[in-house]
Amino acid sequence: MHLLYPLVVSALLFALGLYGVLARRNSVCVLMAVELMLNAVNLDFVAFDAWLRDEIFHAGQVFALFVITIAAAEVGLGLAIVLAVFRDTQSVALDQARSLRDADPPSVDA
Amino acid sequence: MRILLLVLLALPLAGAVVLPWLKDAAATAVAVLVALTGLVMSLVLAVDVGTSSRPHAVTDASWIASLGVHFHVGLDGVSSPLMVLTTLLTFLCCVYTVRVLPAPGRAGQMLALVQLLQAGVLTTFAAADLVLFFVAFEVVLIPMYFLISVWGGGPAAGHAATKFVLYTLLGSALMLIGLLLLGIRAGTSDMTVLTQRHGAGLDSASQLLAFIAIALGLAIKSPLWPLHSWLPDAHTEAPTVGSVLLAGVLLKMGTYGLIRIAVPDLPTAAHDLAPTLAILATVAVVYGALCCLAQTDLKRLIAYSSVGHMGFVLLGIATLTSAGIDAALFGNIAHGLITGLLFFLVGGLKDRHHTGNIAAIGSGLFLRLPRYGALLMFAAVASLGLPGLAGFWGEVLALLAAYHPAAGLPVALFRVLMAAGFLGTLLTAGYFLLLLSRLAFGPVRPHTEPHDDVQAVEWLAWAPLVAGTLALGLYPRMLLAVTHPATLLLVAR
Amino acid sequence: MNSRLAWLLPAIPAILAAVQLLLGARLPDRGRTLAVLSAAVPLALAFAFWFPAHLVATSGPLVPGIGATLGTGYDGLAAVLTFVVSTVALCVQVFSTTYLRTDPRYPSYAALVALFTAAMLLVVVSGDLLMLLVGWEVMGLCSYVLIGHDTASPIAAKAAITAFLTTRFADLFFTAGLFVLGVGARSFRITDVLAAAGSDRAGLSHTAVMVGGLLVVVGCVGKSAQFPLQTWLPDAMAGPTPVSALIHAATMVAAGVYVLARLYPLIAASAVTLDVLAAVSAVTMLLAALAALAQDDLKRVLAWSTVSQLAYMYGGLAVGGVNAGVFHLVSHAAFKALLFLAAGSVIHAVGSNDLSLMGGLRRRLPWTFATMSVGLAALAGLPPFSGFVSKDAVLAVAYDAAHGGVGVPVGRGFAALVWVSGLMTAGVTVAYCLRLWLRLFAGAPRSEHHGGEPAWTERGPLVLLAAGATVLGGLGLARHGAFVRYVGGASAPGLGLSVLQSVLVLALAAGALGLVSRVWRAAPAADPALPLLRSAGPALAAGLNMDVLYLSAFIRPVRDRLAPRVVAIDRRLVDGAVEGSGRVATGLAGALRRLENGNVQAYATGLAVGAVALAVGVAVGVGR
Repeated sequence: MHLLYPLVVSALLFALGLYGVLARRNSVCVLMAVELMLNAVNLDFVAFDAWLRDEIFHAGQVFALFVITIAAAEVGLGLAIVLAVFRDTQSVALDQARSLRDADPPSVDA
Repeated sequence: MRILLLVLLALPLAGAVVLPWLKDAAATAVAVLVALTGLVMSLVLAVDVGTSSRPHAVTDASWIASLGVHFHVGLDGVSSPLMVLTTLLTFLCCVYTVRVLPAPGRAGQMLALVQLLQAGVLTTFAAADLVLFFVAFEVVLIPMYFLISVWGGGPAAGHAATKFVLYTLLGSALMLIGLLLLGIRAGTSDMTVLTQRHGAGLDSASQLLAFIAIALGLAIKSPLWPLHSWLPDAHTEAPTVGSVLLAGVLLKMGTYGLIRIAVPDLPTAAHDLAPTLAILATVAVVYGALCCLAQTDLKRLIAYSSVGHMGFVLLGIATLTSAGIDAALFGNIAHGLITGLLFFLVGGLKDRHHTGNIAAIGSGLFLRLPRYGALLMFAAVASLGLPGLAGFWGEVLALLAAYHPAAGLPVALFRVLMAAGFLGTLLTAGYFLLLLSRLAFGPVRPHTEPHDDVQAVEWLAWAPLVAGTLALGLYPRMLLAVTHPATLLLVAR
Repeated sequence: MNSRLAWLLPAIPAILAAVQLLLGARLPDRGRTLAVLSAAVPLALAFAFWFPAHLVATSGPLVPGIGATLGTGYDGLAAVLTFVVSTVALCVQVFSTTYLRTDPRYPSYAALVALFTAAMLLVVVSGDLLMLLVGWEVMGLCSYVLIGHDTASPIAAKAAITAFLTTRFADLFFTAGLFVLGVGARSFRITDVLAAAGSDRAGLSHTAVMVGGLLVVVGCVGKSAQFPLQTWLPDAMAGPTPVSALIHAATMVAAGVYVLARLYPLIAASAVTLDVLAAVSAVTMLLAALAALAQDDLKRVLAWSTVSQLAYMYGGLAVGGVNAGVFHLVSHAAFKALLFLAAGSVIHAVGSNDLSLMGGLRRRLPWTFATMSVGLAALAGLPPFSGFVSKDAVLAVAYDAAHGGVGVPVGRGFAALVWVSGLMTAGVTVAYCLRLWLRLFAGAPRSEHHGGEPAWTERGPLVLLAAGATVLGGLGLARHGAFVRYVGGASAPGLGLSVLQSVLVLALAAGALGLVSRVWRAAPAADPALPLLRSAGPALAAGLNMDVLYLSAFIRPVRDRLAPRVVAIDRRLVDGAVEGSGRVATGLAGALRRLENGNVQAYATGLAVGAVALAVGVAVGVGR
């Protein structure tokens, strides 16, 4: 199979994920979009692994497994945070969770 | 003697570790003891150095081997007087704290900072390695920042402390570049070796770059006009002890660096830039005096007078003669004693009246507090350069050196600068007399609250400064004989 | 006693002054004994050293590398001055023990007078120019503090500042002159400098001698309140009267004469220096004498007369009469100290300085009257009193110099100027002396009197000084040879009087006497100076308002305009740049702050755009 096919699919998946991360207001959707991006990368890893014929280490596949594991953990953690925020504010809208912004102007003192 | 010097450098650090845990009274007692021990040790070391020109009490151990940096310390005639001045002023500051502890108290912490400061200054003066010098130079900033910002107490103390640190850090950054350039181009960071080489093997372009960077950094510390504006703010906001150490000790590090590193190690560049340095120094003399004439705040006035006095010191250095550098070292010590005393005195006045405003303190000190008035008058006339007192020799020898600067420097320019310097001494006399006529002379205003005259602790803290000013003024050779052999080596071609 | 011990002369009064300052207030007699000792011991030492036949010098290192030494030089000239200084100081200290007995600040006063004595003696015995400078300036400090002795009085404080700053201004020139001489001669020892000035080859160049000499002369002009720096001395009369006697009449203001005499071979080597000195003294002596005639304040009359008499000394030096100049210093010290101390008694008795409140004091104060009459006669130059001899000696040398008859290169026109001005001044001097005498002692009392005749401690010094004012002239003539040998050397013109000239001076004096007494007889209660001076009176009384001129031309512009402007520049420009850089940094940071709005997606967008830009950049870069 030509390398180009998986790469194009991966790029489309990544762009889709990027759009989701940047544009969706719902935190759960953003988390899902992050998964899309990670899986786009996974697809790349596997494709290049096959293309490079790394018979000894299969480094691309190993990294893909790493990413899957970490993505699982990340989703668990992310959903927990979303739940905590929801309990607190009754909302999962991402653009309303701004309590960490630089609120008060600091004293101009140099 | 080696061990003694190492102990002298380590003792304040040990003091700084112990002091914060002690109660106020115990901390003050311990600090006075530690400082007194340091003073005695530095005196012993100074006597050991005597009038010899080679370094004494040398320790040279590898420190950062991969960079060829050594922990190299030693003392000679240039550094030993400054070392005694540092330990003396620290001791007197500790003694003074027995009576006056600025808000918010916490004597242990404050004195620990003073000890840390002393450790940094002493190491700066003892260092014979560029990197060690730089590290010690920087150590001093932190305790002074906290002394000003925490114990300053005024509304603008934080601002002044920040300004002090940022401004001097800018200088330090420049100086670091210059020191690295010098060290890398010369292939060694050993100051003794660099001094012996007198710039041999350094091309004039890198000399010039290194000199400009180092001199700019040191000029901010000195301070040289127009890089002085941190000084009045820092002095005005600092507690009395901080002001005394700032004027008496910290400013000396700048001129010491010029004498120790910039002038002997980069002689070609020093020669090229000496006229510029001399012009700026003379401007500082006149400018500082004019600023003093129009000041309304006591501490600010003394701060600007420091700018003028350090101008004389820098003028002495700029002549590049051993007589000029002698004058600069003498001026350093004299300024440390006299301005230290002046800051003690105006600090005491400020504590008594809760204001530093000259008009608010009011006239008639001779009638209200006769001893205080007499001391203030003594310090003022010493500072305006009255012969027979220490301030005179620093100024007059600097001017004399400017009358015949080193060979190759523009003599006519230096003589014009000498004349301007004379004008500066006249203006200096003018503002000090004006100050005396506003504070010491004149009638007592009605309804003036009674205040304490000079107290026993204050006598104890101030008398050594008076005695030192008199002794150096009457017999300048006491100091010049120590510095002269060493300065001859610094300018030898 | 070996005069190598001359360093004791300044050392002992200095130590006594220190003890007095620290302990005086606690001693039972408030330090009176110490105070008197501080002058008596130097006088005793002066007798012990007597007059050395030649210079006895000591030398030790003072400042390495520049040839400054810590040494003394004691010769006949120094011995003459030591006698003058310690005698006058003794008189003043004894006088002060009762004159200031009610003053709570007597201990510090006496200590400062002792310190002054030490400083003046240091100037006298110093063998090194820098040491001399130390004494010179310490005198100025003592003068400053003592003028301001009445600390509550704003006038005194102002006068003190004026005095210090004016003399300090001149001292800067003095110091620069010492630099020129010391650096040129590669040594600050006076003997070395004089030797270098004398030799053409290895020594000082002619320019250096001229410039150095001129600068030193400027310093002396300031210290001696000569034109155009004369303004401070009349104001300095705000100090206690004994201080005026010691510092502002007999010693400090005359120190410049001593210094020029000490350096005379060097000063006299340059025609320009001598011409300047001659012109200054000729202008000063007449102007100051006229100003003295116009004063209404007893002490200010004496102050202006001091300025005028000092100009005689400088005139003598300018025309080569170093012997005559120094001799006039000696006799002037005696009669002017006498006049000031007697004036102190008068002021105590009357309670005011104002001449218009005095008069008819002859009966009330017989001792003061007698001694003061002697002093005024000496000042007026009436024979046989000392002033007659010393003043005529100066004029005789000036006359010779105008005919080219002395060995110094002063311009003949300048010498003639000194002579003519000196003759006219002699006439005016007689006039103001007689006027003062009449206003003080003649006629009817013009006010209630407070006190009476002074105590014996005050009478004693008056009588001693009156004796000096009487006999010193004759003594000088009798011991003429020895004096010339001690002071100026046998080659310099001596103290010879010319009969013809003395007759001329006396005729002038008689004319002035006649004129003043005629005016006075017409209106005994009025001031005889008024019809004499007419409309010039107020201007002369104010010293031609030169102090006002200096105030508005130099002091006010610097203090009230330049200094505040420099402070404004410092705040706005120098510090403004620093504070401005801080503000620019925080301002930029404020602009960046706006981006930190808390919207995570906005951050992520930035991240993505940045990553894409980087990727594109790398790709383009690699492609190239």
